[in-house]
Amino acid sequence: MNIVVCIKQIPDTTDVKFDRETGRLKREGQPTTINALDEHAVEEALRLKEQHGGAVTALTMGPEKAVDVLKHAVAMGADEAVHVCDDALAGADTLATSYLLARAIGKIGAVDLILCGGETIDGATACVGPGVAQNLQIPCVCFVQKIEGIADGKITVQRMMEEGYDRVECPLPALLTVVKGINVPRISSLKGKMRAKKHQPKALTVADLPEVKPERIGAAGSATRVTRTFSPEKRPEGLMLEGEADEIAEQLYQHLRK
Amino acid sequence: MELMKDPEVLNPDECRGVCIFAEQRRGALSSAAMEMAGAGRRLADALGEDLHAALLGHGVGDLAEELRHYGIDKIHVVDDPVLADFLDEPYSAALCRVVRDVKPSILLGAATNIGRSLLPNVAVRLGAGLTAGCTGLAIDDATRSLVATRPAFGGTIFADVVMENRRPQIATVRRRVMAPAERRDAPSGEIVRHDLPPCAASARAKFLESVDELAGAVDLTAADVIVSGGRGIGGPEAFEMIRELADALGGGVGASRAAVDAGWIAYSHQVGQTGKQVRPKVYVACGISGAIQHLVGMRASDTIIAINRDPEAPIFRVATYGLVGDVHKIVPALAKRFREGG
Repeated sequence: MNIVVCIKQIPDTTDVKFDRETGRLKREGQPTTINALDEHAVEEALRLKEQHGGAVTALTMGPEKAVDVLKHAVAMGADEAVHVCDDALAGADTLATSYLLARAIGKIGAVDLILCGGETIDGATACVGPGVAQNLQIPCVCFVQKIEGIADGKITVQRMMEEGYDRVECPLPALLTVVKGINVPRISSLKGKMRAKKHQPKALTVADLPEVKPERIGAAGSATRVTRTFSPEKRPEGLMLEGEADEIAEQLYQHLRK
Repeated sequence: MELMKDPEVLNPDECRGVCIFAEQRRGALSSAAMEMAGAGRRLADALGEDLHAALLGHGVGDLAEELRHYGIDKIHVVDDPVLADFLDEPYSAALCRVVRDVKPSILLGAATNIGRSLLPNVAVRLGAGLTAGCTGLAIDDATRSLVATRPAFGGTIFADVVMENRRPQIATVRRRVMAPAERRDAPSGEIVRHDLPPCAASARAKFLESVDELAGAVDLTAADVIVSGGRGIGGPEAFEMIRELADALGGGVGASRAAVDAGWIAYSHQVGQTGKQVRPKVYVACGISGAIQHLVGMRASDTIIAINRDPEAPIFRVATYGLVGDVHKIVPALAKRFREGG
């Protein structure tokens, strides 16, 4: 059971800054962290490996500093880590990112399962997972809340829906994106942290990847362009109601009736 | 695994009109379909072009007839047993077939779990741009292209995004942002049937069953009213009073991450960054301090009522009405008062 987990480094702050010219996120000097749902994806991969054997490879695309999230995954227990880092990838939207990640996965080799976080906290597009699946032409199930089991080359999962969940069976290889309810990620052990410290993630550039067309990566390969960023309107000042519970209830009732 | 070949992209000069994905599930149209019909009509009118809808499913003839009451010019139906329930592969293949036949300039779908699974796949198949989770859509007068507005970083910042060089320009739209199309008594619009493309005929994934977790549970992303409980309510038994207030107001039950992580209520109720993003007319936050991770999931609500013992709690900064006091007294008092009415 060889599993690839796609993970992303995101700013660990709500005070984000954008470059006025390009509309791109300013990453320099910002604290960073692993995207929370990606941690759940790593955890699920480790649990599947514990049951079924095989290897877990963490994959990220990002600037040099993104190596930190790979080390985080290794500290949790990932066997291998692959970092695609190349200036040519700057400005990639979800279309260009999924194109490239699919090729990086092709480079990793025989893969049975690909796991991604259901969405990132920063962009929250939820597009890269299903985009990678389509680039690899493998089945995809998004927003998985539980993996029921794997047998005979098929995986059975629960897909979270608005009013409950669907049970879906899917042949491997497949790509799943996961929601938070799927597990509680482990805390890295001291041994894991020591291993991560020494671990050298495999660094790849675009030149190392098969079948990459320059016009399909980075800003050139992106179909979306940010033309403006702005702050949301502030909510109007609220009204504080105080007093005994019955009085507060009466006041609120009268306000809402209007 | 075999890498997909470069997609055959649509020629922008040949693309006209707006197409919506009319979501249906288990034989019923989603209210999201009407929201898309409303948004799509406004964009189509701004362009002076037609509004199309794509309806995928099995035995959906009645739903197609029903869509004729929502001001759509052409309803494109792909009806096949393989489309009976949502699966990514046959649905995206079928939707691509409709898009390649119709050649719309804009393709819209709601940012539901289905829409957020389906449209990214379709975008890759078409080599088109997708702007996800939009809260605003407009046509640029000069270029006649779509300007899609979306929040990022949990709504701390908004961005205008264009996809001017590719067609269709795809957007997924958040629930409850767009005014839905009104139902008209007289049907209009033409129903066009499309064949299922051969590549969609055999889905690799298999739909087993659909499970409602709570009978009569309210879909929080579509709810008018949500009453949520947090750590401050004290324990799992306190969700009983939260449920009672939700019932009195005709709404659903939400929860903060702290309450979910403590095991007081199921994850499906969680509102916030790693849970559901909601925008009801009325959101009642009970015993929720208002960590940023919670605020990003609910601050787009029209009216926010916060109940907390601590007058300095951050939740009061986004509250329309701040109720300071004991949540165990105020919540039952509210339920009683709203049940009495008058």
